Amino acid sequence: MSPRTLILKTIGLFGLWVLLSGKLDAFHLSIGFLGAALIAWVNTEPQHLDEPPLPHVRLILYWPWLFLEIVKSSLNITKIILDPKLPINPRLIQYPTNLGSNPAVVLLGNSITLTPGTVTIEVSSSELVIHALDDKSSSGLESRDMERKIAEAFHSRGQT
Amino acid sequence: MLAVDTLLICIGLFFLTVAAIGIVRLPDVFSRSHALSITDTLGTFFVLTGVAFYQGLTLADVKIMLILLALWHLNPVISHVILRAALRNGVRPWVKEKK
Repeated sequence: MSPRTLILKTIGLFGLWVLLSGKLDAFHLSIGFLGAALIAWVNTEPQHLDEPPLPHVRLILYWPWLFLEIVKSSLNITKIILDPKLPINPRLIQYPTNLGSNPAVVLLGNSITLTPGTVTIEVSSSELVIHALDDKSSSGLESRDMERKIAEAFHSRGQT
Repeated sequence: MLAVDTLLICIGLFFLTVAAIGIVRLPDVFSRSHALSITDTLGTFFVLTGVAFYQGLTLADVKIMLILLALWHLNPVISHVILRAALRNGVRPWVKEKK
C-alpha cells in the first residue's frame, strides 16, 4: 500500500473518531490518532480486488433519485398491504444485465433490494434473479431506468 | 420544534405498523421481505429524522445519519442473503392461483 492511501485511511478513520467521540482535548485526540494510524497500518494488504472503485462523484445525482424511487414504491407497497383484497401477484424474474463490472452489478442489486416491492435473490455478473411482489413493481423493474442510470454513472469512466 | 419531530416520528411509526401488518398478511418469506424493506427505508428514516429534530442541532445528529447510512447498506445485503438461502434450500415462492 502506498503511503498516500495509508495517510488517507488514517485521516478518514481519525475524522470518524472525532465525530463519534465529540471530545476535542489532547488526550482523546491523541488516542484517536494512534488508533486510526494503527488500524490503517494493520490493514496494509494490497488491494485484492482488481475492480475499479465506485465513481462516487458521478453517483451524487443517483442517490436522491433512488430515494424518490424508494418513497414511491414504499407508498405503493403500503397501499397493497392495507388493501383488504391484498392485490399481490408475486413472481420470479430473470433479469439479464450487461453492466459488466462487479461494483456496478452490486450497486444495481442493492438498489433493487432497497426498493420495496423488488428483492434480488441471486446475483452473477451477467444475470440477477429478482422477486417482485406485484405488477407495478415488476413493470418498474422492466423499464430498466435504474440500470440505465447506473450505466451512465459508470460509463463516463470509459467502461460500460 | 416539538411539532415537527412528533409528526416525523408518527409518520415513521405508521410505516413500521404497516410493515408489521404486512408480515402477518403476506403469504410467504419472499413477499414478507417486501414488507420488511419498508421498515428499512421509510420507517427508520422518519423515526430517526424525528429523533434528530428532537435532539436539536448536536453531534448526535451526525451519529444518527451514520446509523441510517449503515442500515441502508446492510439491510439489502441481509435480506438478499436470507432469501437466497431460502431459494437454494428449495423454498418455492408462493404464486397466485390461476382462475
